[in-house]
Amino acid sequence: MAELHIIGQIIGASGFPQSSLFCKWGVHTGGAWRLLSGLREGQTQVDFPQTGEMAYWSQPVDLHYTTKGLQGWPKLHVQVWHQDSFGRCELYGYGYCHIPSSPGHHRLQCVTWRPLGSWQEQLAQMFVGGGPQLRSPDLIYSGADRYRLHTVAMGVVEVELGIILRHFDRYGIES
Amino acid sequence: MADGWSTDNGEAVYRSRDATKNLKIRIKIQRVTSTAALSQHLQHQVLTQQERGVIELDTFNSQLRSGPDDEEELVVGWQEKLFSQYEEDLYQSETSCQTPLEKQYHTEILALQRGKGRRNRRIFTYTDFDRYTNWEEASQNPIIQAKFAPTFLAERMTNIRHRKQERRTVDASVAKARVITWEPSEEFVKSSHVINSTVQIMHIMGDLGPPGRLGMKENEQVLCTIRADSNGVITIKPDFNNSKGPYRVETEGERKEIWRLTLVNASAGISEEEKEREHRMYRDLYVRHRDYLNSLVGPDFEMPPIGSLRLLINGEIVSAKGYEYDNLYIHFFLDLPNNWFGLPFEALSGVTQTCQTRTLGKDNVAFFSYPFSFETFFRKENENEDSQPKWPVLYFKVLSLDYWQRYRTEGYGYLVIPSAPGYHSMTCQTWRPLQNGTVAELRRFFIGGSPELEDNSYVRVPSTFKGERLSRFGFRTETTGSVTFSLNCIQQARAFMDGNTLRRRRQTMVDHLGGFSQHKSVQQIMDLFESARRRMHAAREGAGFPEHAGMAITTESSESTA
Repeated sequence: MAELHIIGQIIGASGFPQSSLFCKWGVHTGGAWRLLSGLREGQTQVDFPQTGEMAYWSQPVDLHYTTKGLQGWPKLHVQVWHQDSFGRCELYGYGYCHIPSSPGHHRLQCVTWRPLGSWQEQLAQMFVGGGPQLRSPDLIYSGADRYRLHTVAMGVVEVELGIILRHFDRYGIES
Repeated sequence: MADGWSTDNGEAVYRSRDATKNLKIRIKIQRVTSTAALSQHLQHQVLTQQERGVIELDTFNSQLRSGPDDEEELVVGWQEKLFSQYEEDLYQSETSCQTPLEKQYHTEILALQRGKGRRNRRIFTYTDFDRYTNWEEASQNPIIQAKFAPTFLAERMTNIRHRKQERRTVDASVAKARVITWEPSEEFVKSSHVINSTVQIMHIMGDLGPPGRLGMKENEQVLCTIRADSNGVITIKPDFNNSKGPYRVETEGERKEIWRLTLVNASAGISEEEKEREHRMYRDLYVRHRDYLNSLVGPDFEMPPIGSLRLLINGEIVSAKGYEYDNLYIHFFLDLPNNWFGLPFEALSGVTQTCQTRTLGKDNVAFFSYPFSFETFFRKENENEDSQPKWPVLYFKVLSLDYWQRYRTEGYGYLVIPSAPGYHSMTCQTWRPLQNGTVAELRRFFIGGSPELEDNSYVRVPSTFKGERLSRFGFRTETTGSVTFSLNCIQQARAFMDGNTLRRRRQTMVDHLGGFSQHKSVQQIMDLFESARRRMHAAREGAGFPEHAGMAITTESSESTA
């Protein structure tokens, strides 16, 4: 029975068209994993940077998992949203990365993409906002049906994680 | 003569979870006079030379004994109020007592005078309740300056300590409903802008006046300051003298005198049986916690079959950049060489979504963020094959499909899965094949459709290749962009479990405290038995040295009982 500690933070995001951003994040695992302590999902505050264009959230992530198998290694998924001055929320990107499996300190860049509609929808989106969203967020972290999507590249979410593995070497795992 | 002084007057920080009221300090001060120092030095010399049979000098002894006023040794408890001569004189008369605290001192002093009198002479204390702690300490200027005005922050902090004493109420935790206070009151600003922890301070003072003239306020000097936090942090300045020499205290005034100060920790330690009980309690706690963890998931772990290496690749296709056209997607598959097996129903290929690029710096990038996860097993079929095992290769091709349904190949590339486990971020360059003449390029531009590779593995070494030298002569390509992958590789094998891990496993804290519980599986006991037997065999081979023979005997006896 092995344990995994994920201790880190979602630092912020940059490279998006507008800067007033917030992020809905979550960690998704397979069936053999059990969460012992920590919050597995959350939503950050809305950050509106005064200088520079990177929005900083510094959202702490502190999770303790225990597992009896290697399948379903945890994955971090993020949805970046934009809140404008009128209070409307608009989707700015879906992103995803595997939690690293080697112990130590990792600085990850999680790139994001957003689904595109037809050109009429894109024109409307420029004026009114809105835009297509995924019907179910599961599509972010599975690859099966991705080929149907037409997307556009958006910004980058920076994540800093410290990984501690425990008892993995007892079962002959090198990572 | 002034040998053995300790000049390190810095404060020391201790942490303890026990109650601070159990703290006791033995403090000793001793005046250093010239004759006393000289005779001490001489006597020290005499004592060291005594083995050589020198006659003891008795005549010096009478001068050594300093007067009762020149030294004092006392055990002081936490917040124990000891009065100085000055305070005794002051609070004796009822008229000079205003506050309730002073009145209380008055009654205590009268009681003392009726009784045996104070047990201290020169050493006295200022506790947390005395005014000294608040006023004098706050007005001490740490910098040498002509005029001293406390800064804004210093004023705020002293006010806080005051108020903390007057009403020792702890602020309740902030209600979760209201996260922001839009209009903070003055009270709120005062209490939340500076440090909020309650600190209790005690000063041990010494009245270092000339003998017979005690009770002058100018001769008072701080010998030791003790600060105790509500979190169990105790700061003592200066520190206990454990093995350093005594501290040197100099009086100011017309006659500069030197005193020797020694501080020793006299608090009662924890008894053996208490310690044993605490230890047992922690051990029970850890064992129970471990049982709880085990019950959640179960003590087993899925292992690969014996003799095979399991490789688990969790990765993602991150991005692609530097390509000619827009709306890119990537089609990839994992190629397993001989001796590698995959799971029966697992797909080893995938297609990403189509992504429109955007400009980042100088290039057009497309972000895919496409996850994939492969699991493969390596089993060595024939042992006599000497070659290095070939690792799986990920082949991919980048394609573009635009609005008018024009389909073009943008590049071919490959990525060898790294043999070292861990996190790898790799960028692979790609190329696309070209045909002679301009017709193919024109067709590619106007209607789409470009030459493709029939065998994808041609990118690296074609699967149909059996010769010695690979020649790609006559094959024309054009360099296109690059694709970034990030991979996490995990390897698992039963062979990694022996040796080090068995030894290391025994050193985990929970095992230390919990001992060998019945929850260890049979497999682990067999492994331990195996390693013990191996040690015994090694000892038998190395017999001839006494220590090895000894080892052989002990392991044999353990084997018989196992």
